[in-house]
Amino acid sequence: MTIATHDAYLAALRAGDRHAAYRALDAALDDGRELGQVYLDVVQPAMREIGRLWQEDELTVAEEHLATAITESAMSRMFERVFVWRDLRTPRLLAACAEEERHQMGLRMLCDLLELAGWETTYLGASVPIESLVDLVRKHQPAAVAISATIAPHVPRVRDAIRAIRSAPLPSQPVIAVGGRVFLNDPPLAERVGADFTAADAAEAVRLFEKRVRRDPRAA
Amino acid sequence: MTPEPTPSSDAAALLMRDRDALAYEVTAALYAESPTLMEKHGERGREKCLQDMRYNIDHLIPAVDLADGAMFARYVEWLDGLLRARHVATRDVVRCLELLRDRCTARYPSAESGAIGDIIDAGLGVVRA
Repeated sequence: MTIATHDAYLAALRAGDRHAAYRALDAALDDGRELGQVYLDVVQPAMREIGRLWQEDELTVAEEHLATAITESAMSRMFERVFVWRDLRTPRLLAACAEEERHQMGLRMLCDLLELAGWETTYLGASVPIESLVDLVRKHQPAAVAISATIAPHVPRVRDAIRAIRSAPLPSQPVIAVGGRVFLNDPPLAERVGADFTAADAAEAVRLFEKRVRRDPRAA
Repeated sequence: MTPEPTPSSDAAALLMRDRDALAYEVTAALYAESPTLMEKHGERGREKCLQDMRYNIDHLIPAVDLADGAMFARYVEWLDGLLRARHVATRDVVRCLELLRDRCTARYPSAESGAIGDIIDAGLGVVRA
């Protein structure tokens, strides 16, 4: 089922057909798939394939951006469908891409999945300047911060952002995680930039945040 | 809180400062030594080469800063795949990196150029058959 959904979704992205993309994902949810499963087993591998096809010169930049735009709107639709209102949402996570970084989808997945786990997330998206990130951390005082980077040139920015948060006057320091392709390729890099952890995907990141921030033994 | 400067971090700072000049020099040297490149890719190809050289240096900088050859090697592997799909030969990628290393050796003191050379060599290891 998931493979068929993946193939249908990828075909829709390659064709730039937004409605076909929606239909493929709607069918997966109708079939009882959880949002995390659809994100990690359908959407993410399909988008990786789109990236590979661009690298292989089989898709243009415009077509790749179209696939991204379709996926972001498809994620919003799915999230609205499964989201349940709760009066009390805690703890809070603040999520931002490193300055200059534009690949924001993984971070968006993390925020959506944490929301489903009852967290309050503040998603800032692409390229957040360090000073304004620290400013918002001071205002919101989140229990956790997630910073994302895809390519190596953005790694020093991640390191600088973490240093700036660590040296900011805060009542308590947030747990800081990093993610994105460059950390996926080299997980020990997370520690070298000063992060508390990195994760292989959004679902593992949710488990690790639950464990470290809520100290929930079930999430271990 | 700021860590002590090292040859690696000093070298990264030099690359950041000289990025555009180095990219221009390497592109000019590459096209000067292989006139067939101009026939094959044209002026637009040279523009793209210059852009790619800036991008190569952008990727070299954090790898030099962190003294992480594997980081640059992964980039070079990715770049080579990308360029081969666009009909750019691996030998041109190799030559670009060699020229960049030579320019850095000519410009910088030995500690810094050595730190840069180690990282470029790690990248060359992926594309040299």
